Amino acid sequence: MTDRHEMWASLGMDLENHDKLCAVLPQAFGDIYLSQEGRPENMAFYDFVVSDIHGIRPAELIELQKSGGKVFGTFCVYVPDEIVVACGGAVTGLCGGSQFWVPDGEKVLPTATCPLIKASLGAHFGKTCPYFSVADVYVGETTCDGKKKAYEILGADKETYVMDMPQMKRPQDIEKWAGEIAAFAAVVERITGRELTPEALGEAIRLINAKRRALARVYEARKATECIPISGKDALLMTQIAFFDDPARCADAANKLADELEQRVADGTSVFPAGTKRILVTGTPLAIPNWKLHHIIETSGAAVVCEEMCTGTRYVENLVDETQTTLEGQLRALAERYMMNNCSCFTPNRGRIDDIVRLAEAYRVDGVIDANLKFCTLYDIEKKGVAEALEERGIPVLGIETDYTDNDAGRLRTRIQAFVEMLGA
Amino acid sequence: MAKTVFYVLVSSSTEGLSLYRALREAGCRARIAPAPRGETTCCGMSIMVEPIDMPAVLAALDADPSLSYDRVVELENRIDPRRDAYC
Repeated sequence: MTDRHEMWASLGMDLENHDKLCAVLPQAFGDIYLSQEGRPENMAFYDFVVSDIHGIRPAELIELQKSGGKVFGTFCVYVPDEIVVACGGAVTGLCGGSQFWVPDGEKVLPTATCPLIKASLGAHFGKTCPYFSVADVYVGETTCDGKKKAYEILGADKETYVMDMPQMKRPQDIEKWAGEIAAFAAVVERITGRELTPEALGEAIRLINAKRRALARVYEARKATECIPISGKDALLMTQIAFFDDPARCADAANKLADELEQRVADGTSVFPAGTKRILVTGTPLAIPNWKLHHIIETSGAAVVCEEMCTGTRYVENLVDETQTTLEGQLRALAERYMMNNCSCFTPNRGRIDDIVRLAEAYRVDGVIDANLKFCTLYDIEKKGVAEALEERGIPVLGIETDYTDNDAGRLRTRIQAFVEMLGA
Repeated sequence: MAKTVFYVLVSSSTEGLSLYRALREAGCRARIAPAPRGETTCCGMSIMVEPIDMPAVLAALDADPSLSYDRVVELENRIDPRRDAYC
């Protein structure tokens, strides 16, 4: 197998520690993914990507840098990829979904910080994530207090630009976000050395919209009630990888998968037995390789058919207006699209509850699991309103809190099994 | 679930993906899997084959000399969806 150690060493990574992470992936991926029967053929692409997830894409990004391109590492669905792509840069997601990175994060952060933030900083400071290492600049955003302070710590070690996310959704907030995107564009122009033109931005908007359309086709196929053409785990994997991949290739792979799923729906080909309970998962994002919750649900007699979260519908729904021809109009269109996302950082955030209810009905779910990572106060507080809205409509909901460790897996499994049994009662 | 499983090891992801596609086009049942730890020096892909499907895969490999791979290993099948051990 291609030895990536030289590449990782060139990125300044801790090879010995990183090898420990590489050691656990084959077993975990085998248990969780390769144990499934009847998977869509086109999931092979995603299995391929995971198998060399710290090799193939980082190597491509290094090649881009050799030709003068810049790599922007991002943490959140609010950062507009379109700006970076229009200036010839690449956007990559960053590591943050494994307990492996948490101890290194706890060296620089309080223990009582959410595992996503701890893992992210741990991956950076532990030098065990090639995406952190290859990025020329990080782009953060003020979507929670933990991240805001974490960016200060990160920024002391590598250039970190923070976008100031509005906390409300009034017209002046959308205006403010358009201004924030314009300020970000100026930073991207400086870093890439490329001027942002309406032509390039228009092309980038169409490209990222094409990616969203392709991913959304997969989600659309999951609405089928006659069968469940793809497991929630597989759909989650597709979404997680989308944050890292080249957008055109991502769209191509998702369209091929969607073609197959649409045929499966027509043929009635399901990966679960008839009558399997349909679950919508909502809450904090599930960064790769966080597959724990989906795996427990799908080995407890239920199937995940939709994720209302940043690694879910928020990433694929809503398109940017493609008709604008001036930078001013395009930046405004970007602001309007990104502000449609209903993150729990907003107050009030009735839109998220409306989204959950809408999606629960559209995907014909039997129940909702509202999951937040420990110490994610924003999502935890919203649980009450989510539960009340779902209960009003007779949709059962289970609220859980978890982290990246294996410690609570047995307890979670017991609770989820009981919830699924209750759905069938 | 079979007690053992075969892994076709490859020298690069590019080679592995080409081989996987060729095997699928030849009608062989196979899956892409991370290369088993201990059998390679680095992360990367392999092609996982159930014992019942291995004769067809070997026949396909024999029939087309252009299909390159490193070697084939048979290992204990340790896949356990109830292990609850995550990354």
